[in-house]
Amino acid sequence: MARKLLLDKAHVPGITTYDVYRREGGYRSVEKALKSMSPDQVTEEVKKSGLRGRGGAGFPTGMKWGFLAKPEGVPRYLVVNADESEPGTFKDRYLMEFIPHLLIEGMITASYALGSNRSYIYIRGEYVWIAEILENAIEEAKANGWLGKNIFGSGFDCDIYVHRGAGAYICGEETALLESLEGKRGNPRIKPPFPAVKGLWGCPTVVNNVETVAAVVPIINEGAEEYAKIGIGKSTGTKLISACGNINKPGVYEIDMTISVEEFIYSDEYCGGLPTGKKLKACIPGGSSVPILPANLLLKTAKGETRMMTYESLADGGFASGSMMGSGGFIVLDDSQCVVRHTYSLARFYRHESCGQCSPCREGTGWMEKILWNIETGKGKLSDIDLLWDIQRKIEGNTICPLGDAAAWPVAAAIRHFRDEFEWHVLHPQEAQTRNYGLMHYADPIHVPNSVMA
Amino acid sequence: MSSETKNSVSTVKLTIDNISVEVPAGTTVLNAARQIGGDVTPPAMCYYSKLEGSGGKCRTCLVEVAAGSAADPRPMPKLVASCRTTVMEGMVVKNITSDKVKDARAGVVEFLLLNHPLDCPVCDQAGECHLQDLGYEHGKEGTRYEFERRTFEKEDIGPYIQLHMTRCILCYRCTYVADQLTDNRVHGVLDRGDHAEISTYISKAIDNNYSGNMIDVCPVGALTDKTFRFKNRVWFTKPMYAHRDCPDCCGKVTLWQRGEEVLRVTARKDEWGEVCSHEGKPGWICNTCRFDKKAASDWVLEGPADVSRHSVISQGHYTGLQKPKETLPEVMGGRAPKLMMDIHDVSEVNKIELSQLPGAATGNDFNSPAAKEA
Amino acid sequence: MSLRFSDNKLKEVQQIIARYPEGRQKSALLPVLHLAQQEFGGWLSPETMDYVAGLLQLQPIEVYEVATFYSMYKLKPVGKHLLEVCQTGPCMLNGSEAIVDYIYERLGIRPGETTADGLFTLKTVECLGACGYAPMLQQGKHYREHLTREKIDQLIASCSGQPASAHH
Repeated sequence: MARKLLLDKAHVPGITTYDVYRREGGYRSVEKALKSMSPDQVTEEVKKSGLRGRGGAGFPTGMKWGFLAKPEGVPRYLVVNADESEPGTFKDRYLMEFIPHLLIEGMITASYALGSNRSYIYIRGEYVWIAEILENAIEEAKANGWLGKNIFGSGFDCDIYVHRGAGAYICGEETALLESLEGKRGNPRIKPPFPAVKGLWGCPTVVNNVETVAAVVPIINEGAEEYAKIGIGKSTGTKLISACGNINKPGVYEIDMTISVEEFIYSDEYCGGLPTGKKLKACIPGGSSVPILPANLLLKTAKGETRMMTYESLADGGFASGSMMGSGGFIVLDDSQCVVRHTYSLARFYRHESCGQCSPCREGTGWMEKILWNIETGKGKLSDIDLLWDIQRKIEGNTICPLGDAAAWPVAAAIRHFRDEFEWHVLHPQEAQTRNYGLMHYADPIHVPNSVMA
Repeated sequence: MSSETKNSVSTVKLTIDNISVEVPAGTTVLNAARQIGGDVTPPAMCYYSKLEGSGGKCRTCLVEVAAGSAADPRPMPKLVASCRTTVMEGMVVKNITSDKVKDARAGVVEFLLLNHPLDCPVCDQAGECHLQDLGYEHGKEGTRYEFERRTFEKEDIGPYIQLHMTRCILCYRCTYVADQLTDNRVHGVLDRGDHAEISTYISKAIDNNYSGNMIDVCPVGALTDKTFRFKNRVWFTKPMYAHRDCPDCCGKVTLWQRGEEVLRVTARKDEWGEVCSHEGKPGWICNTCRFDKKAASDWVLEGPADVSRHSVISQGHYTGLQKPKETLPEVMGGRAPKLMMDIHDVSEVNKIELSQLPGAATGNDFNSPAAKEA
Repeated sequence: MSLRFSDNKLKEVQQIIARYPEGRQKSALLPVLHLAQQEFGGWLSPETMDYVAGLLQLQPIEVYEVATFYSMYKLKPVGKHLLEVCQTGPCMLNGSEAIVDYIYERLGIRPGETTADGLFTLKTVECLGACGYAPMLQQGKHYREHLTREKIDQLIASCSGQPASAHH
């Protein structure tokens, strides 16, 4: 049984209430930090833990905190990114809904480290009931002296507020989130300046994902060294994976980044395999933006090694034969699914969510959606596949924010690994309306040339 | 800070397409390239140096940074928007010497034209449209887009300005004008993604003495001057610098004339298509100068406007033209050539003496009874 | 009659504004628009938006710009019960299209349409972060997850104020 640091108490009855949470050892990290550590020591501890941002990019959290500018007399802000909207991702929702005080506790400790006296949770607007759960938890924490002025005589003031978004995936991008928090359209800002220098209302700001902030609690409680012992290489600690699609046990799992992808999909502790009679066709291991992999490349890397549920192993082979840990949204497709239709659905999503500020994303996402719809409905041409490739290539890297890349990668990866399925759609337009391409060779063992192994 | 350090502006040296340039610290790559000028300067559809916060959106000015600075000579991983990237000492920038840039720019041009109507012949902006120039200079012939283009109804925003959203490329410049030049912005960018649009939402007139500057900053034919629409093609008009003593604005303008008639008044534009600065201040003009002063007698004429030789407008720039010497009588020993056929005998159209008309010829001139009888 | 929040709601607006530093009341725009939509008929009319602009001392265009950007704000009247079915990838893998079809079978409305009695509006929306509980829809404040035909039947019956009939 893998070690759990975040969700180990999530199923204790009444853990959403302060009393139970406290009885189970809650708020110890705040006590420890405020009474025995300086803010810099807390930051140092997070650096040493090797914690990487859990929102998708995997940037080292301690380093991000270290970049925060600290000019005299200017407020600094911690903003928690709870705008969970990446298709396949629903882990933060689980954490906030079942163990809300963990987030509040992590926020107080992180706010202390960063010097934020006013911290915000930006939560996606549709999570109405979770915003209410968090507001209750904040009330309770405040009533018990963990928030407010001069917390336990430390001289540190902190308040936390919940801010609901209103339906826009783009607000998960940190500068769009800040714009939205300022009451504006969620148009990402042009960087530099980065939020660490000019963020919320022009002040230095750190934006961290929910799970990242929650992970500060075990890091401070157990110490960075203990935390860093869990996992492999630069993938330290535990990671929440939200698994969905065609599996027997969709849900949120905390893994310690030592297990293989195969174990994660098939073991009863996690996804519990695919429904009876179904075979694994493909998987998007880290939220809809990251490259989709056919079954064979998912379970083994191009070198023939077992693929593990770690940042490094999931990315092994680059985009040519690997993918990314991303946000941990693990989407499984069985052999009855159509990759073209699924890719179309994602393209529609990105077109819908593009803010429209910069031209490649605004125009390119809609174009890709239309072409994919033609291919899916039997009106495509073979040249459309190359055209799609060229469009995604011209969006990627050329936009203001990563939404352009996020829209380009799923299309690129689908064509890279499933080109035969796209061609089949074009060449068999009628048949493609009545049946799916199926598994074909996607699960066949990969031939590994000796030169690759060397 | 002592006054000495304040006055001594430190400069930064960098190269753009292998050309060295020295600019004050804090300058953007685009403005450094503008100091060199010519083809080395990236095109810019949304950036406007006189509008704070503009730029970064259209992505036409993307450049490759092959070395970030002398201190950290690593290349930047992605192409960057030169209008929003600050120069560094020892930076190595590649614009037209980078295949990556040329490829990305052609892509951006294609994206910008994707939903833009390709009907320049009937567009009022033709001849002074930055998208037209961009497409000509950096685009590919032909489009690969096979779907219906997004269209909108034309909308009057007040008595002087027409918005044709179909042509808009969402550069946001007009919203910056409204924010920075007028006290109450009533129009903005509504909706999002590929259906985002410039609108007032509830069809409100833009009623502000500086609103006309939105027309001057619009790079395409989305915002046009209703007092000029379809009166003439810009290349048939004669741009003249003129000024008047205006209590509201700088009063320095370009008159677009046909004969003596003033068809249009705009702010003066520099070689980048932006309004010129006068005494260090942007030369925005007020609506009175732009829309109401349409008589040559309202203005003190200064002389022909500077028009780039590459612009189609320079074709109609007939001031100072020297008529070639009539050589026929000379070679014919003093006799004039015999007229074989008078064109007016056979052509209805040419019964109108175009040069005698007070302004531009319109359909009415040809259809009027006078024309028929003539 | 001109639009106005009740005194209680006005107090709530003040509490929302107080979450942000002095002079940053524009930040209250998103939450106040949520409140206004809830109080004034489930959608944001120009009149409602102008009222909110006045409350927060903003230009009306600043409110329109924001209201038209976010998908949760409705700019046209909707039925009493708004059913928003998620259609993105993971939900699609689990049969969201069949749910949309079944709602059409039951209510005769396609996405974007409202029943003649004004009771239901059907919409398709993009990912609501419930991928593990697919297929799903959002109804007002609530997520209805792991949808089946039977659950749709029950939902329609409870909204119509009738017991679930054995429709199939």
